[in-house]
Amino acid sequence: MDWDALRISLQVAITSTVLATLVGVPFAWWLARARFRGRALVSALILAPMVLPPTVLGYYLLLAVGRRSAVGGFLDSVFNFSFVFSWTGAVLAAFVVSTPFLVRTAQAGFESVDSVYEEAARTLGRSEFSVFLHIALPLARRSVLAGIALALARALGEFGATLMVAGNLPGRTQTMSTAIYDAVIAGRTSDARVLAVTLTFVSVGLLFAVGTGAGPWRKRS
Amino acid sequence: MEEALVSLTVDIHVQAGDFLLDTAFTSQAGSTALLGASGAGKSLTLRAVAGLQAPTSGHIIQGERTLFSSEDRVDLPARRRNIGYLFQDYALFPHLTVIENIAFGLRGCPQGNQRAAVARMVDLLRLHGLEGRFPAGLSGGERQRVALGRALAPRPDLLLLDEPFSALDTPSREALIEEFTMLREAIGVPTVLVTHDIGEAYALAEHLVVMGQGRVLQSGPKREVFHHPCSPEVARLVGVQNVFNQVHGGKAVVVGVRAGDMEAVPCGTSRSDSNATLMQAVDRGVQLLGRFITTSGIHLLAELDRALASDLVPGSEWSVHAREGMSLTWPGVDRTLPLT
Repeated sequence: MDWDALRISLQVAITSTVLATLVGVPFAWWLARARFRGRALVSALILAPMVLPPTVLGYYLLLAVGRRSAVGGFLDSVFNFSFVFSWTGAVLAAFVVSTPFLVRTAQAGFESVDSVYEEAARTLGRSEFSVFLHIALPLARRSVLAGIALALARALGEFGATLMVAGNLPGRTQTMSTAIYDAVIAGRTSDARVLAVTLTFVSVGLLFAVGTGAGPWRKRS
Repeated sequence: MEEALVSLTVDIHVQAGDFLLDTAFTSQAGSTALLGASGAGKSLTLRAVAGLQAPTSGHIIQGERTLFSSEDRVDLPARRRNIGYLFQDYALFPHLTVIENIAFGLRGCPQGNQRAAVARMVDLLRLHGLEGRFPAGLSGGERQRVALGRALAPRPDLLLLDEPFSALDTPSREALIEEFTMLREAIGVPTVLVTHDIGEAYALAEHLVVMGQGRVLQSGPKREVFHHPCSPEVARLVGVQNVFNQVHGGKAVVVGVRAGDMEAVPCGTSRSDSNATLMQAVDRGVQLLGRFITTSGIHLLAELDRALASDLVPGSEWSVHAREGMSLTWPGVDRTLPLT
């Protein structure tokens, strides 16, 4: 078997999780602290990708960024770039599918921390960015890391939406998940077994790595 | 402290959920106490001064600085107000050490100045040996000193304290109040304190603002408020234990007397001028109090002479009166009290 699928899987899952972390964690903090009308609606919309079937999401993504869409047409004509049938499309699919898991978990973590610490930091002259970075984030660290781990696991296992947007091109967009499907369909059972076991080890290993990083902050030197 | 710099004017409306706060007071003193029962709006007032709660309208002016003004569209964010805030439960950052907590407000200062300021706080607040500890490993008194150090290190223009001593047990509380008074003199920062305890307010402030149900009931120099409360409600908050309705010269009045301003004399069998029956003696150690009920049905609390300890028989007859000139009267009837 060839290892392109593993490389592409890791490349896609890690890129997607980095993006999800950069966007999702500050957003989760904002959601946890903001008080406005329609907050419940925003929270519900964020969760939509968690309850929709991945193929449905993939279909919507195709509608949104496909070559015939406004966004897709613009990207194609100006940058000669397309999400469709490229690894970036797999990243987009994994990002949309996995980010809600991160936001949900991190938001619960931020909500469980008393906002008085953030107020104290403000009275001590700190900017909102500093309040987030030095107070909110370290105090909700466990939940944030748990959210990142969940998002990573979800991105690594993403199948449906990825298939719809990025396709299943060996060496280009074929991830471990889609490769397993391919192998089973083609009757290559030993390939499927090796891929499945490898994906299991990689997923559990990554989760374990994130989990060890999430130790209690008190032990920090 | 120059007067112009320490004056504080607060005149604000705040809508926080169902609670409506309508506070207005001016304090020229370097130390002000907001006194009131829980739910009076004291803490909300403090939060508005700090910039943690936005008023719907009004203005907050400290010295020559406008912190908030709805007319002039000024609303300085909390981080630019340079106001130290001592939170009720201290809110020490649990993931930072004592030193890191104290240095938190010094970001942006040169390293050398930071170290000097932290060292000064460690000295002033006697925190030697605790520098590397986390808040979880500190006693209540130590936490409070660290929180004070954290609030004072950036040299704030104003220090706000929310029930600073209520979470502490009596011995460390007395010591801390004394220590705090000396510290404030050493640092020279104006303070606004929130408390429900008149003793604490009196010990720590020159100016008293008495609050109830989201409004200011009375504001003035502490002696004036303490000795001349403007209403029975204020009287109770400044520690007048006996407040009752009475008809005096054909007019309804409300009378207030502190337990310490009552004179209680036991009546022997021969004496006929008794007017009250002793219901219970309450020995608080530092104070011996008697609960009486008068012949007209008024409950009174009077401080008793220790020499009378042997006469404290429940049911015995006593002569109980306010000392000459020590009773307060307000015209009208207090509907919250039984009529006599």
